[in-house]
Amino acid sequence: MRLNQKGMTSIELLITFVILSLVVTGMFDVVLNYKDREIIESIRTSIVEYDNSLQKLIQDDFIKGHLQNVTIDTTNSNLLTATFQMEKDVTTETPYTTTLQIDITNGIISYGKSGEVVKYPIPKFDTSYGSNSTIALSFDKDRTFIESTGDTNQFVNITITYIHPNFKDGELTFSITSPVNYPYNL
Amino acid sequence: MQGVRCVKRKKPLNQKGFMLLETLIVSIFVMTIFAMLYTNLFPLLGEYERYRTYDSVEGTYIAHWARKIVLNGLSEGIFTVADSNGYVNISDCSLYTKNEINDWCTNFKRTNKVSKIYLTTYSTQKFKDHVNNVAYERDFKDYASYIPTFSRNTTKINNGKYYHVIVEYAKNDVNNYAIMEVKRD
Repeated sequence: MRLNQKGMTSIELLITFVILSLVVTGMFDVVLNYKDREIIESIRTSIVEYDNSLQKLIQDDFIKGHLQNVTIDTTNSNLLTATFQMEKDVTTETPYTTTLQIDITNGIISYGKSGEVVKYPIPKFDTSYGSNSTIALSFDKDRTFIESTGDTNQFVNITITYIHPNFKDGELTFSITSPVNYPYNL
Repeated sequence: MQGVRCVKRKKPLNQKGFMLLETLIVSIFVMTIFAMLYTNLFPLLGEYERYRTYDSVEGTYIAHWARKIVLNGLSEGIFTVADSNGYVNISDCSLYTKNEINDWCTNFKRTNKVSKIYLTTYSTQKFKDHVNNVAYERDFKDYASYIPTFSRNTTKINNGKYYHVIVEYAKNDVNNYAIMEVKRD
């Protein structure tokens, strides 16, 4: 039997290369898109971890210490301050006070009992990824606030919103809410 | 047979190579597999993004405060309805008649942008069936189908003092959800 040694014609080769290059280009775009998403998700994860640790820290005081009164000082719009009076410490069973400060300019949240205030700077990210983008996380001044709602049976609402170029406005936000002087002994 | 050399003729290899038609069929086949993989992967990613709005730390604390107002403010009659129906919609603050909790409820809902509060029995099966059969919004149905039925914990189901509270609250115009166990004393 004679071998067919004709091989492929140039038009056949051309069509094959075109199909292959289309597949490779499509796959490349998909992979690149997911790589970007992975970076964005890792940023989101860091922010959520930071939020959760703050949420737990402050809510633990509100619930276990029994929040009784809140004083909010917003005279300096770049330094939001709130003082919380708790009914009693879990161990010493004496009243105590904690202070929360949100330093909008420097991106630092400070919280703790008087004399034991700890600074929690917002997460830092690599400032040079991608082609020429600069990534920095900061507070959204217009959407970061401490307020108490209701004339009686108040709730305190601490809302913190960040700005990051990879996220939509208002997308990175979290709130810590608690009733003030809730009647526990019902 | 001795002395006869058995010569095996080697079968010539097919060296024709692929035809254009064959190449095209294989290419289309491979592309179809990739397309199917991609279309199946896409809903999974959407599901992962949806789960971000379920039972977050923030939501769990909101559910904790919902539990407080449920325990302090709801009358015995509401718990009886929950027991017989398997669930009860307690989003209306006028239901919190005990201990003047209705004002706390109003401020709780306003502060946390809470739109729905449901009290269910410890087993959420009847609640899930109800949400599945009634024309609720898609995200509420998704959450109802996501939560477990808790039906295997027969100790708590038979105890009669255990319930669940389910809260829907808005965050960045997206509905978030949280669930928390409630135990009556």
